[in-house]
Amino acid sequence: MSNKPLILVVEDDAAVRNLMAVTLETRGYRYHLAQNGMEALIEATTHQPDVMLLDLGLPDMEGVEIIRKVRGWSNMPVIVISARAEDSDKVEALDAGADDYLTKPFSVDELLARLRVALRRISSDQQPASQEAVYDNGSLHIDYAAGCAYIGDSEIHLTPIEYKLLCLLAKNTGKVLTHNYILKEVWGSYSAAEVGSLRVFMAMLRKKLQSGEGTQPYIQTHIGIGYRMLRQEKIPEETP
Amino acid sequence: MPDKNLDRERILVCVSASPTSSDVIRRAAKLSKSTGAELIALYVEDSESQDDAQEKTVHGHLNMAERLGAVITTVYGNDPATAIAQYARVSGITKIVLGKSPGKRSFFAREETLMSRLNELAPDVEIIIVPNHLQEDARHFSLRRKLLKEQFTMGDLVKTVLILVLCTGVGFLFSAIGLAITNVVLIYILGVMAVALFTTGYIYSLLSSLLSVLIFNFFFTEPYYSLQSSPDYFATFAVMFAVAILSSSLTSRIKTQSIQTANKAYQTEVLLSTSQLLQKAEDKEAILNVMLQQLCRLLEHSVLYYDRTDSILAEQPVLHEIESDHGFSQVDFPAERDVVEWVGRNGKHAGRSTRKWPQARCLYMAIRGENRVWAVVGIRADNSPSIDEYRKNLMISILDECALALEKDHMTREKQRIEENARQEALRANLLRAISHDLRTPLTSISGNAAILLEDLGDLDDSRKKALYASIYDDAIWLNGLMENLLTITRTENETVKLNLQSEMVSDAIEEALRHLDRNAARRRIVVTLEDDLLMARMDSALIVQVLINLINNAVKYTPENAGITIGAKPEGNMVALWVEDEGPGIPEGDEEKVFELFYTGVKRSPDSRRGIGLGLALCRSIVQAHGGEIKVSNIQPHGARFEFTLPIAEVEEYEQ
Repeated sequence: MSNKPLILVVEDDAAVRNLMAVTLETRGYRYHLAQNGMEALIEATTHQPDVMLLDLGLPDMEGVEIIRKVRGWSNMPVIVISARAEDSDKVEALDAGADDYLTKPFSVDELLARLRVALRRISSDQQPASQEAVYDNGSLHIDYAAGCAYIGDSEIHLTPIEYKLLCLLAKNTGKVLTHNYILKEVWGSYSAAEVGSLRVFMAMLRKKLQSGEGTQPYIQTHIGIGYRMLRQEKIPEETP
Repeated sequence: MPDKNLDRERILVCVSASPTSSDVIRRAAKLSKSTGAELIALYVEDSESQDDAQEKTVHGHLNMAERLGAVITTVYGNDPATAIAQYARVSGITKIVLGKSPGKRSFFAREETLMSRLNELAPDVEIIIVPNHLQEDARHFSLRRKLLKEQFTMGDLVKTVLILVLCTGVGFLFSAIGLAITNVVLIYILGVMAVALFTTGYIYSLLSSLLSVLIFNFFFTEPYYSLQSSPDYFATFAVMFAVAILSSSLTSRIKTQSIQTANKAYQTEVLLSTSQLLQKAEDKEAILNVMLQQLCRLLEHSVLYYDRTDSILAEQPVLHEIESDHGFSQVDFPAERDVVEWVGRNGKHAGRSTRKWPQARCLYMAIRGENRVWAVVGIRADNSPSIDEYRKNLMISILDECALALEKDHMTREKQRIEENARQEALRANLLRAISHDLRTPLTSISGNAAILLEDLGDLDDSRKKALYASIYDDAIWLNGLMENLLTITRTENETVKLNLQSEMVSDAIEEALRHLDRNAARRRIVVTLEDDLLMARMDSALIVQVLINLINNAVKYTPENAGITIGAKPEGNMVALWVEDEGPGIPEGDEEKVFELFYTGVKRSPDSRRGIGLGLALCRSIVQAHGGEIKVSNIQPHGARFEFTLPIAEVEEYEQ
């Protein structure tokens, strides 16, 4: 019972809250509901949920503010849900520390997929030993000590910046990283000209990481927002 | 004249220093009150100096007019009739109220000419004369002024003396060779005529007539070298004097007339060319530049103007300097800002050669429209000879012409704006009608299907239920797509929102679009062909993704299941071309342009035509055009449509490799 993940749903609209509650229940998740920002913070501190689903348009508090408060003491994955189509809202939430975003209207499948990604991030976070020296994700293998990356058994040749990008994405697997954040981490600065070259480096990197026909790409592009490293469903050894 | 203000009469009352003026103003005010007309008090200020008492009287009259509800206006010009007529023309005056004082003949005559000249210059305007019983001493003013006008110049005096000396010399020659004395008289008359021709002002003709009689008397009549003479000659002297005076005045009149004719021709030419150029000018700036050029040509002074839009004066003047005046651009313009501001606010002239700020470098004048000042013109006057009256009048005519052109330009623009607004309104109304229809249809289906499912008592089998669920789902998704487009439209229509242009991977945009397709798209074979994986374009990604979604959904809508849809992109010069091809029926001949029009739907012949209000493609076009690209559609072989649009290519310098 207790190893079922606990999800905190923060949503002021009763119909959507109900929809999410039903979805979570049928998929075997435990959940708590909160209607506004105050409730959300109380629930988050008292029950320590595994993942928070946070609507950005709450009546009493800006969603971004809640993310900042939660990030003050917890690293729990936060998936923001927004009815706003403007990219800037999402980027702001992601920069404040959210892991992922969903735009209304979303499908139930999409919601569940995002939840799985977030939960996988927690499980990989909980294996600190492997995190230090090497990184494994599907057939992608990074040897931090040697500064090399492999797909399967063959080494992939990366330029220094591509390698830096790969490491940054790998360390934040499952999390959407905004352009702004990546530029700051890799180039140390932000300028519009560099956004263009970031696109090129990412495209090159994605190409080099392509392990074969039909496989999911490791790096997902969120146009207008950023990039994310996805944890592959199964590592090749386990696939029949 | 544009017949503006037809709805309201405008009465003009002429204000002067005359004591009768106050009575005239009162009458005019009464008239305006009884007819509900607008009252304008006009004062024609001329360039001649006025004494303080007169100025005070005028000021008092103007104040009174203002108290009685009149709008105060001052114009400049030495000819009141022209100035009044011009103002009346420009500002759509319907009635002019003038004062008239009986009793004094000369003054009466002058009034008559003002009236008849006004009648001639502004024939459409009704002129009302207010009789007055006050005696006045206006005659003295006019006489004193006429005398003040005559001025002696050294040059003319020398010319007069020289001509008389020459005449005397010829006279001696004639008498030496024994010609009759009458010939000498004729020589002097010739001399007087020459004086009249070569000098300005009656004073020299008068002087030379008198002198020639005296000299003739002194040198050529007995006793010689004395002013005494026999009574026989008195008749000769008298006739000689009379003939000299008459002929000289005739000569000077002919001269004046020829000068006037030449001036008039020049004036006509300048004004004609001005109005021709003004007609060609397309906007306010062009009009003002034409004005500046014409003024510069006419006055041979450096000129400038400050634009004045919505009562706000431009920061910097626009200059036009003549060749000999290169220092003009170094003038400390901010120092004279106060003068310019004042002129702009009051619509009166100020600066050099006026009573307000006479120490300024320029003479500033306002270009006045009906109820605003369009611009302030400055004429540099501190380092060049002052402008004569004739040019000044011409200059005022040019400024008036310019004001007229500005007024016309403004009205045309206003009209265009109103028309544009009306068009937008019609579009909006159309859109609203179409949207409400398109919202209602799927909503009916959603609520209807949901009601069936709610009331179901177990009669429906699973496959029926599933069909109803699917229908609800489809309609909801469709509504969401419509909403996206509407949101995008409001975004693109709101001009304050700028495109968020970034260099984006074309492949990323296509990938993103494929993620947001209709459920039906899954039953088509969608193929993406990219020549270059790293192709990048400048785009607002959210909008371009919307364009791609619309184009692909459109292709899905018009193709049967299992049909192929091809998406591709390639560089074309400095643009990137993206296209979506389908295997549908293609576009009907002649509709290639129409498909992008709002509310165009090509599905009328299909029974399933409830979907789509022709929003998508129109939106695509406006988005692509906002990016500086083009969108077009063509038919492909063997059948199908190809939508292609272009975006500016993005070149990215790489920091590595």
